Amino acid sequence: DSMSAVGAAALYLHHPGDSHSGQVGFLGAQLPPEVAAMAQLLGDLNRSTFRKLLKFVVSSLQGEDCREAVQCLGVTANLPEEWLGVLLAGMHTLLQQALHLRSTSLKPNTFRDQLQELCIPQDLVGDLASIVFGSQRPILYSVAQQPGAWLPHVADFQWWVDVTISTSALAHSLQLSVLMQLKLSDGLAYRFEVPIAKFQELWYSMALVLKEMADLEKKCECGLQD
Amino acid sequence: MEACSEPPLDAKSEVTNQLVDFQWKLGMAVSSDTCRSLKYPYVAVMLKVADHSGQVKTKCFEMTIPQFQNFYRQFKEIAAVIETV
Repeated sequence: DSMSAVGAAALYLHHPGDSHSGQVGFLGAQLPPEVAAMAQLLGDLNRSTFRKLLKFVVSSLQGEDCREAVQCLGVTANLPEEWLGVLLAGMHTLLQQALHLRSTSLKPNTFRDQLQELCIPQDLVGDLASIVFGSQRPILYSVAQQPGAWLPHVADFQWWVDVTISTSALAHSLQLSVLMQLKLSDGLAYRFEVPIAKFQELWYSMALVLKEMADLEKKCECGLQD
Repeated sequence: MEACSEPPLDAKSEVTNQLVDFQWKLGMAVSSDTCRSLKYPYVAVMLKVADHSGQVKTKCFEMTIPQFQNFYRQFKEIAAVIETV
């Protein structure tokens, strides 16, 4: 086909400035194994299940925790757990690569062609294209860019509530404390104690942020929250 | 984000850092070098943590709105636990 002919020609003629030759697809020089594995399962997959899974992948790209919902879907759709893992990993990588900075010049037709080359069914290609090039593109695009102009995100958050029953200094003290462990997307982890008074302040601040969000939504009808 | 998946060994003895301040900002990115027209709301947080010597370190991070709502739900749980203990 024309795409691979152009690619082959560019290889021999050494046209370094020709970024539209389509030499290397948006998935990179080597097809990520999870994408290949996912493509193999798509032929027999129930379409409605695929669309629901796709929605979860898109939500998780934006930071939502969909683990429980995904597991429920796996049960109701009678999907083997290994299939679920393969499908999610493949869809996640595929979307993330398509939304990456180096894919700015990726055109919808090129995207569709490259997916068809992976033997992804036509109708599902349409669904994927509507995510990558649809109305959510600006938000998905910026979230997929980190780092860049963005601060690290929260990768993991764990907490413990501790009760100190007694110490060498004070017997029967029954002191409460909150311990938090924050893991950020830049790989760094922070563990610290939150005194109860500070926790109450924090908790109040967060409620205030939610209120500010609601007020802002009303003022500019932005639809911040889902 | 799961809570209490496994209690850390000797958590109390390791944790000498204390949270001293928490600042937040609710913002909306309207444009960037990679995408001219954005409508991306986010919550940026700056934590100030003091170690045992009193030295204060600053940690900054941001969250998408769904992430922040999830974060808030965790805090709601902590508050509930504190109340019942």
